[in-house]
Amino acid sequence: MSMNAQSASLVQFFDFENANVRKDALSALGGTGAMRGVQALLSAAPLLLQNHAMQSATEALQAALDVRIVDILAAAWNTRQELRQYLDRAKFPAGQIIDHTIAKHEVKSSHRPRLQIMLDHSPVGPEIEFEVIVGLTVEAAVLRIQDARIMGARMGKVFGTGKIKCEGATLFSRPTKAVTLPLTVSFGTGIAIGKASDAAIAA
Amino acid sequence: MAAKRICLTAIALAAALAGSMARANQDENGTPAREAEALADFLILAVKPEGDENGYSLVEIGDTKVDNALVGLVAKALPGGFLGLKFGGRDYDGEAERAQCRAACRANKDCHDVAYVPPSDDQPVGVCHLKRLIEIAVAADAVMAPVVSPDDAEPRTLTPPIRETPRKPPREVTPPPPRLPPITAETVPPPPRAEPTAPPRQITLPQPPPEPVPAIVEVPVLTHADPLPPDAAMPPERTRKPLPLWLALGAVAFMFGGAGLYWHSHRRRMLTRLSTRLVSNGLDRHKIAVETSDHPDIGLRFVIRQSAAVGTPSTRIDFVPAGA
Repeated sequence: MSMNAQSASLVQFFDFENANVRKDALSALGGTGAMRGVQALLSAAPLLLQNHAMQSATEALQAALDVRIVDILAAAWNTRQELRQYLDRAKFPAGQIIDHTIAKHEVKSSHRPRLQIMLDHSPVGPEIEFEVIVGLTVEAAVLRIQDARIMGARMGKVFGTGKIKCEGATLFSRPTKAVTLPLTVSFGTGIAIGKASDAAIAA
Repeated sequence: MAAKRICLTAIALAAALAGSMARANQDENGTPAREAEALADFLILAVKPEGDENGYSLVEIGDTKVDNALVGLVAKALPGGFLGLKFGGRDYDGEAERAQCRAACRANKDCHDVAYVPPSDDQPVGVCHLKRLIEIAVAADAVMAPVVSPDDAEPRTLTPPIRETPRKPPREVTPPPPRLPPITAETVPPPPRAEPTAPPRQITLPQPPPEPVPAIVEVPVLTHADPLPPDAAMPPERTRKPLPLWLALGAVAFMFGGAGLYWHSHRRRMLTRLSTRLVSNGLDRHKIAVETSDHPDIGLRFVIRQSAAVGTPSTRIDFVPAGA
């Protein structure tokens, strides 16, 4: 499978690099109270900077969306109580390989990145908080578990939908459609079961 | 004796001719003003080609001097020009354009002669110089003083000369007066208004008998139409050379490039003042959940008892049901 598909992030998920989509997002972002406040504070700055404020915020949001889809899935799978049994090394010694199949399931994810616009290294206005909501429907997934770690996964079809909001205004909206992901995903040295902090470890 | 009579007759005729010319040169006040005739431009036309079908048209570009602005307008209207820039000499039919000049001269009653200047790098169109005869009072600024001879009854007086006299009909030679007092006129040549084609001649005329007194008279010289060669009739007016196309385009490209570089640099410098910091990507408060259907998870456990290459007959895999 191609690395591009495995490394697909929320940037591709929300079609962030599409100029038209970004334009609509910028327009919606300009209507939020936070951005209006920032624009008011920048009124004394050159027009070039005023016009660049929203563009800069959007670019920073793009950096906040650099989260891989498979990492979201791994984090979701790692929350499954059924996987806790594999922590028993007496029952499941390190030499055993377990394929744990999860039937059709739905993953719901949300996180809130926060941005701060700076002018000459000084903050301008309050922080701007976004809400990124992602819904993934996985037809089926087979997790390969060894030594209490999720080593990889094989997935069926995945459908995704999502929104990015700022102060209630929807900046990006993705209708439900198939997500291009590889059939088999490897997590390298594996993700330790039961440790949420390991969810975002890169493969 | 007969020879002497013939000689005396010739001398008398010459004296009579000189006297009549002196009278002809006197103005209304009797001032002895002398005249010369010269050719001078009075109308300058540009020969503008209109294409094969329409022939030529003549455009006035001055009277006594070429108006460069009008020449520029005519040049811009020439076929094949681009932004006033031209890339080489223009083809022209010198004979046809010269014929246009001659026709224009014939059509003008004041025209006495015409000179044609072909197109050149400095002057992109052929030019006709229509000329007419003008009279120049060569004695206008001269100082003349009568020389009174002892035989004069009363001395002559001089009145102020005039500068120009209108053109006069052809002069007739009249017989000399019965007794012409002997005079000697000395003239100081005026500033060179018109270049005479030949130096002034001095003729010493003896007075008719009984007392022949030599008179020194400067005979006016008629400057008449020896048409100068076309190129020498009037030096072509200096026209401003058009800017070469490559130089103009280069200058424009340089200006735009410089402006672009400046703007790009200025914009980049300006935009570095404003930035957006990612305070948090939000993953520290990542909310994630998995909702499953009623189907339970299925676990398939297998143990590799003997490590071997996959596919070899000695590989044994034990499948153990979940929960066993």
